[in-house]
Amino acid sequence: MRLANILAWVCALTLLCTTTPLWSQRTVAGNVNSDDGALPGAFVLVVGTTRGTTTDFDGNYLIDVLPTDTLQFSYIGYNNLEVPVLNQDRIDVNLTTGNDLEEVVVVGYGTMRKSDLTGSVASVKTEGIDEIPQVSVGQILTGRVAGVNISQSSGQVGSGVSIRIRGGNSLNGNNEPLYVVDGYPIINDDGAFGAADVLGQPNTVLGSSQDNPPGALNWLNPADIASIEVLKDASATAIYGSRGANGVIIITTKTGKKRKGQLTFSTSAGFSTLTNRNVDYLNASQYATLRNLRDEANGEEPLFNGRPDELGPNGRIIRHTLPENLGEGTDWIDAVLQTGITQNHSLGFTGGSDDVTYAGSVGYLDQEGAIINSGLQRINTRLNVTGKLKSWLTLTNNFTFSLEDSDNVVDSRNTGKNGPWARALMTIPVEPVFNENGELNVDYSGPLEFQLNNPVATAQGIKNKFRTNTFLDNISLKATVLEGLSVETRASVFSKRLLRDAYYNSQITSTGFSTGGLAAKNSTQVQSYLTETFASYNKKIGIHGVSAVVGYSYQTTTSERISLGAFGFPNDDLSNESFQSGTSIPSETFKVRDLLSSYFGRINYTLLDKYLFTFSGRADGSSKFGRNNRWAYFPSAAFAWKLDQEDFVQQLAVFDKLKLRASYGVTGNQSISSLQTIPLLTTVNYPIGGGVAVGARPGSIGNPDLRWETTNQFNLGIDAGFAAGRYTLSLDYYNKRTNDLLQQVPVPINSGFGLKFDNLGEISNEGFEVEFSAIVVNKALKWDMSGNFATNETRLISLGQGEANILRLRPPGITAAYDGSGVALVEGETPGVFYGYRRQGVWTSQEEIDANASLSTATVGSQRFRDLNGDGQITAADETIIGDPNPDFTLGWSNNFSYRGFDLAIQLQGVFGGDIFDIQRGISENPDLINNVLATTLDYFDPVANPGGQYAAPGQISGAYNFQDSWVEDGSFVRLRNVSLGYNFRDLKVIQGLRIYVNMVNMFTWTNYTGFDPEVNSFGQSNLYRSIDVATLPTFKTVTFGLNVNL
Amino acid sequence: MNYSIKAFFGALLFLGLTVSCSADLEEEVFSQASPTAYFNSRGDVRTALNGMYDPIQQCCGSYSQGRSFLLNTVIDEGTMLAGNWGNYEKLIYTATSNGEPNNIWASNYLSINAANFVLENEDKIRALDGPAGTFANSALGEAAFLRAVGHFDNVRMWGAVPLRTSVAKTTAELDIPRSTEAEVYAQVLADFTFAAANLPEAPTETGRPSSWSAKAYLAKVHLTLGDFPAAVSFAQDVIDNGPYELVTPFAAVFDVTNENNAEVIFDIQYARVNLEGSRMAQLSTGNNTAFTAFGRGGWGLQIAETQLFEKYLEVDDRRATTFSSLLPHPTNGFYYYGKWRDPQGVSIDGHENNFIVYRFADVLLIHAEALNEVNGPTPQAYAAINQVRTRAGLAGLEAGGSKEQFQDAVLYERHLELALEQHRWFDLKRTGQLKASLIAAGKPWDDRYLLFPIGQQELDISSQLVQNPGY
Repeated sequence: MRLANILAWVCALTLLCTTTPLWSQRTVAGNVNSDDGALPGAFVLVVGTTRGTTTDFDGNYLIDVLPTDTLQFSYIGYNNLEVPVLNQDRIDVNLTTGNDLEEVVVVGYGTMRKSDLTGSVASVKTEGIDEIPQVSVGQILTGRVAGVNISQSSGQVGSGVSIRIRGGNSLNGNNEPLYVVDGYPIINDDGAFGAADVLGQPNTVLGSSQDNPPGALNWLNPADIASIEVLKDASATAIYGSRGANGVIIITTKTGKKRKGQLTFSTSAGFSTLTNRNVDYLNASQYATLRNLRDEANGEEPLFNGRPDELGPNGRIIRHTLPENLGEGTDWIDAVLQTGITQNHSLGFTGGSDDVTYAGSVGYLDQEGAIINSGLQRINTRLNVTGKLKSWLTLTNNFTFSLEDSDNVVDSRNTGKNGPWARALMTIPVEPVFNENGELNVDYSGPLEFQLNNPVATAQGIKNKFRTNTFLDNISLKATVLEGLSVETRASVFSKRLLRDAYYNSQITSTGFSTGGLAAKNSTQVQSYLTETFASYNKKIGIHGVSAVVGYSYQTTTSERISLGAFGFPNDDLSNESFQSGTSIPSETFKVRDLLSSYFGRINYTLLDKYLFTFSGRADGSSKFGRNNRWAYFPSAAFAWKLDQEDFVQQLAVFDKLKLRASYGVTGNQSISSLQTIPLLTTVNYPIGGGVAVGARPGSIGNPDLRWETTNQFNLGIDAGFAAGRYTLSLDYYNKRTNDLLQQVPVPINSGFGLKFDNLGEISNEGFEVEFSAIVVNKALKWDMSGNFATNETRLISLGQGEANILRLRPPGITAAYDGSGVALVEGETPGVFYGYRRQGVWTSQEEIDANASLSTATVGSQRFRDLNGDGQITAADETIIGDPNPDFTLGWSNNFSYRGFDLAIQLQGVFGGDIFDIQRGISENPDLINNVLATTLDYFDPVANPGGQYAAPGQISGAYNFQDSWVEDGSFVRLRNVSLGYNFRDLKVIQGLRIYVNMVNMFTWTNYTGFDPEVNSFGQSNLYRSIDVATLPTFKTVTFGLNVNL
Repeated sequence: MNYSIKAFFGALLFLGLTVSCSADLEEEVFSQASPTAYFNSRGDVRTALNGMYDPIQQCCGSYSQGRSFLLNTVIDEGTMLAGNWGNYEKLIYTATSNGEPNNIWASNYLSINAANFVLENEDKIRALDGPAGTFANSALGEAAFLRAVGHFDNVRMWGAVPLRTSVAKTTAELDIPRSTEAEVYAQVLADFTFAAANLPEAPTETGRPSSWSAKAYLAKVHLTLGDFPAAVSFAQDVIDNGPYELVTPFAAVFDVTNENNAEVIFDIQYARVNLEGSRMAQLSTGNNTAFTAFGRGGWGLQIAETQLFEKYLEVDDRRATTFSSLLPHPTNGFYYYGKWRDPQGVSIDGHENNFIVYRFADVLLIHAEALNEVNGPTPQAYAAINQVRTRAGLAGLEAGGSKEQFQDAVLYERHLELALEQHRWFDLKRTGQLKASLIAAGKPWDDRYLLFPIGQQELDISSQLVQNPGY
C-alpha cells in the first residue's frame, strides 16, 4: 500500500516534470459501483459546470476534465460523492446508501420527504426484513409500528389477520384499515361477524365462502413489497375520506432500477408445531373415574363398571372397562396434530435502462397446516414495468396474479363444535381412533350431544377446499405538463374469484351421516374497476414551498355469489364432483353493485422551510349511503414546526432533528354492508303444492337516512433526532371520537324484523405512542434497534339507544345451553367487555345453599355465584362486568446485529393487561363429563377428601353453563416473535451474493394464560367479541431454514 | 409538442370528469326484491303467502321443535333427555335462559309480519284480480288466517302481547307496547271471521286453509274465551256442513303416506327435502326404532312420560300410534313418541310428516265441551265425545254423569286423543286445571306458570314491553 502511494507520487512527480501544464484538459475514466453492483446511468458531473455524462451499462464512464475540477457522482437512492480530480486518470467510486439521504415516504396520492410530514405516518421498509420469508403482510407489520395491533383469527394456514390501528372505532362496522396496494384500495372485511358480509349472510346448509376464508391479502407476495406506510392520523388519512377512519396501510411494491438485470432466488423450508402443548386433559383412566362419580351422582349405574363391553346400536362399542384398567387412552390433541412443513420458493428479477425499468417475481408457497389434512399451495406472479414513452410521458403497469388452493379444516368459529380441533378438545380419551376392524371409530346414531365425533374422522371426512384466483392490474400514465406540474391517470382492474368446495363424508362425519353425504360449492366473485386522475404541483418560490394534489376517483364494484348444494349420495366416491347423483338443495344466487365517486385534494405549504401546513380532504359519494345522505365530506388540517431550523434549538446542540406536529381532521367509515339502506324481501321456501315452493317475506326494514361513521381525530406529535441521526424518538398523542356508529340495532322481534342498521352512539379512542430507534454500536459489530410502546384506551361513550346504557350480547355460535350474556356493551367501558356471573367457589353443604341466594338447581358440590344485587336470587341482574379485553399497553422491540458476514435479528412483542375470556375452559371444566375435561378439574370438591376443591364435583352441573368470571384470565404475554440468524458469503466469483439463514417465529412465549395461546381471538375482526377463546386453532411456532442467491 | 401535451391533459380531465359526474349513485340489487315494488303478478301474491308459513315451519322455531320441546314437557305428557331442555319439565325457564319460548314468540311474529305484508297490499292484490275478486279474497283471507293463528298462540302463552296489524316502516312502529288481551282476542276473532268469509270452501291448494278451517278456529277461540254458545254454533256448523271426518283407523291420521287426509283442518307442510322437512321423527322416536331418515332411528331426545303410556287401556287403538313401541325401550326403558314417523326421510330436517295443528277430533271434543258448558252433558255432547272414543276402539261413555264429570271426561279424552300434539297446556290453562294437574304430576307450582316469560333480550331492546308477573 505504502509502496503504491510512493509509486503514485513518483509517477505524479514524473508527470509534473514532463512539463504537462497542471491545468491542461484530459480524459478521466472510471467505474461507478455500489454494494448492489455496477450502476448504469449514474450521473458524473463536473461541479460548478453543466458538463457531465452518465455511466454505461457496466457503470463505466469517460469524461474530459481539468485537474482542478471536482467530479460529483450521483445516483438515485445513493449518497452523492464528490472527488477532486487532481492528477488522476482513473477514478473508481463506490456509492453508498446512507442515513444522510432524505427518506421519502409514500402518502395518499403522492410521496413526501419524511422531514416534511405533518401527520402521523409510520414507514416500514422491507429492506433487511425481506431476506427472511414473510408469509403475510400482517407478519411484516407485527410489533413494528406503535399503535398497530395485529391478531390472527386462527392458526389455520393462510387464514386472515385482523389489524387495528389506534383501536377500533366501530362496533358493527368494519374496523380494518384500508389497504392501498400501488394505488388500488382494498377493504379487508371477512364479514363473518358484525359488519355483515357484503355478500349477505351465509346459507346455513350450504355454508359459504365465509367458512374460514383465506386472508384478504394472501394474493400479495410479501417478497414483492418494497415499503409499507401506515397512515394513522386524520391529516394523513382524510384524503381517503369515508374509508380512512381506521387508518390506511399503503403498500408499495418493488420497482426496477436503472441497472443491470439481477436475479434473486430464494428458497426455504419451515417446520411448524404448536406454540404451546402444555394444556392437559384427562387421560382415559382419570376420565372414567370421574365419569363413574358423575353417573353415581346422577343416580345412574356407573358406565365403567367392569362388565363386558357391549355393542351399541350402530356398531360402536360401549366400553365398561374399570377405570384402573383403561390406562392413558387416546390423546386426541396429538392425534390431530402434525409437524407442518412449509416450502417457499421465489424467483425475483429486476433491472432497467434509461427508458424501461422492470421488477417482477414468481413465488411458490406450499404450506402444511399443523393440523392433519390442512394446508395450502399458492403461486404468485408479478411484473412491474415502467416505460418512458416520451420525455414528458411515463407509463407504468403493475400486474399481479395469484392462484391459491387451500385445504382448510373447518374451524370452530363458524360451525359450532364441528371442527377437528374443537373435537379434539372434547372427545373422551376412552375412545380409540380406530375400532377393532380398523375403521375410524365414530357413532352418529344419537342426538348431537351424544354422538361420538372422532376428531381424526372429522379432519378426514370434511373437505373444505378453497380455490382463489386474484388478478390486479394497475396501469398509470403520468404526464409532466409543465415544470412542477404533472397529471397522472390511473386505471385498475381487480378481480377475485373464490370457489369453496365442501363435502361432508356420509360415513365418518356427523353432518354427512345425517344427510347421506352433503356437498356444497360456493362461488364468490368480486370485480372492481377504478379510475383516478389527479394533478400534482410542486413549486418552491423563495421562502414559500407549495406542493398540491387534486383529483377525482370513480369505482364500481360488482359482487356475486352462487351457492349450490346436494345431499343423499349413493356413496362417497365422487364426493362433491357429481351433484347430479344426489338430491339438489335449492340453490342461491346473489348479486349487487356498489359505486363510489370521489373528489380529493391536498395542499402542503412550507414557509421558510420551518413552518409546514397541510390541508387535505375528500368528498365521497357512495351508493351504500342512504338516499338522503349520498355525499360525505372529510376535511383535515395539520401544522408542523421544524424546531431544528430555529437558532435557539441549534444553539442547544442537542437535537439534529426536532419537529412538532399537530393535526385535526374528520374521516369516515363507510363499511355499511350493501343493501342496508333499502327495505328488502327475504326469499324462503315452503313445501306446498307438491314441491318446494318459493316464498318471500319482509326481511329488512332499510334505513334511507343511513350514513357513514364519522371519526374526529386530534393528533399531537414530536419527532426528535440526536447525534447525527443515531438516535431518533417520536412521541404521539391522539384522541379520536367516532360518532354516528353504524349499529346493527336489534329491534323487538315482535316487529317481525330482527335487526336494523342505524347511526347511533359514540366511541372514543385515546392513546399515547412512542417509537424510538438507535444505532447502539457501529463498528465491525453493528447493533441497531428500534422499539415502540403504545397505549390505547377505548371507551363506549354512548350506546345511543335511549335510556339503555347496557346492551347484552352473546358470543355467536355458543350453544343455547349457556346461560347469561358473556359479552356486553356498557357505556363508559371498553366495547365488548366480558359480562357474566361472579363465581364464589362451590356449595359445600345443603345448609349453605338454603341459607344463601342460589340457583334453583344448586346442589352440594355445584358452582356457587354471588348475589350481587342482594335480592336473594341468582338472576340475570347478578351479571356484571367480569373482564376487559383491551390491553393496557403494547410493546415491540427489534434488534439487528451484524458482524462480518453474520447477521442476527431478534424481535420481541408484548401485550399487557388485556383479559381473555376462555369460554373453552368453561366447556372443558364441565362436570357433566359428556366431554373430556381439563386435568385441573381433578381438584374437584369432595366434602371429605377435598373440602377445599374449587371445581364442581362430577355430575353437579348446576351453574356450569353460566358465563362466569372464573373463565376470565389475564392475557398478558411477551412473545419472541422472530429470531433470525444469517450468514452472507462475500467475494464470490460466479454469483453476486449468497445468504443462508435460519429463522424462528414465535419460539418462546411468556404468559400466565392457561389456555393454548394468549394471542387468541376466536372472532377475528369482530370488535364486539374480542379476545375470546373458543376452540380456536392456536398459532404455531415455525423454524425455517433458507437460502438466498443473487445472480 | 406543446400542443399535444395540452391536448392529452385536456382529454384526461374530460374523460375522468365525465365518468365521475355521470355516476348515478343508486345501489343496484340484482337478486333481491323490494317490498315497495312487489305484487306485480299473482305469482308474487302466492310467493308472499308462502312466506308466512316459512318462519313457523322452519327448524327450530315453532312447529318443528320449539312448541314440542316446551309445551309437551311443562305438563304431564313428555320429558326430555338432554339436561338443559330437561329443565322445562321442572318448570325452570327464566327470561335469560329462554330458548324455546323465544323461538316460538319470534317465529310467530315473523309469520304475522309476513301476513301483514300481504294484507296491507290489498289494493295491489285486488288490482290483479277480476271483478269477482275470488283470487284476492282468498289471498287476503289466507293472510288474515295466518295472522290470527300467530296471535292466538302468543296471546295464550304470553297474555297481553303486542298486536301487529301492519308492517313497521318507521322506528317508532318497530317498538310498540302490549295491547290488552281483549284487544288481541278481538283481532284474532276479526281475522278468523274475515278468513271464514273470504277463503273458499275448498282450499286453493292442498295444505292451505279453507273457510272451514277458519270456522273451526272460531269455535276454538270462542271456547278459549268462554263464549260457549258461539263455540257450539261454530263447531256444529263445521261438524254438520264441513268437509271433515274422522279417519279410521287412528293410525291413518298420522300415516305419512296418507297426509292431508279428511281429518286435517290445518297443518304445516313438510317435505322430504333437507331443511324443508320435519325434524319431529328425529327428535322423538327412540334410537333403535326405524322410523326416521334412512331407517336409522331417532335421537330419542323427546320421551313420552311412562305415566302417559299407562293411562291408555290396552284396547285403545291410539296407543300403538301415539308411542313408537308398545314395549319400553330395551336399554333405557323409555317410551318414545310415535305419531311422527318417516323411515324414508332424507335428513334430520328432511322428514315428510306434516305437522297437524288442528284436526277434526279436536272439533268434536270442543263441541262436546262447549255443549256441556251451555246445557250440561246432553246426548249430543255424549255423541260428540263417543265418536272420538269409538274410533279409538273404546266403548262410548255411558250417559248420566254430572256436568263436572263430563268436563273431566272431555279433558281426559283430549289428553289421550291429542297426546303430544301440543294441545294439553292450552287445555289445562283454559279449564283452570293447570295448577292441579302440575301438582298431581309432582311438579312445582307458581302462579307465574300461567304465562311464559318474555325473553330478556326482547325486554332489553324494547322500551315499551314489561315482563309478565313473577319472572
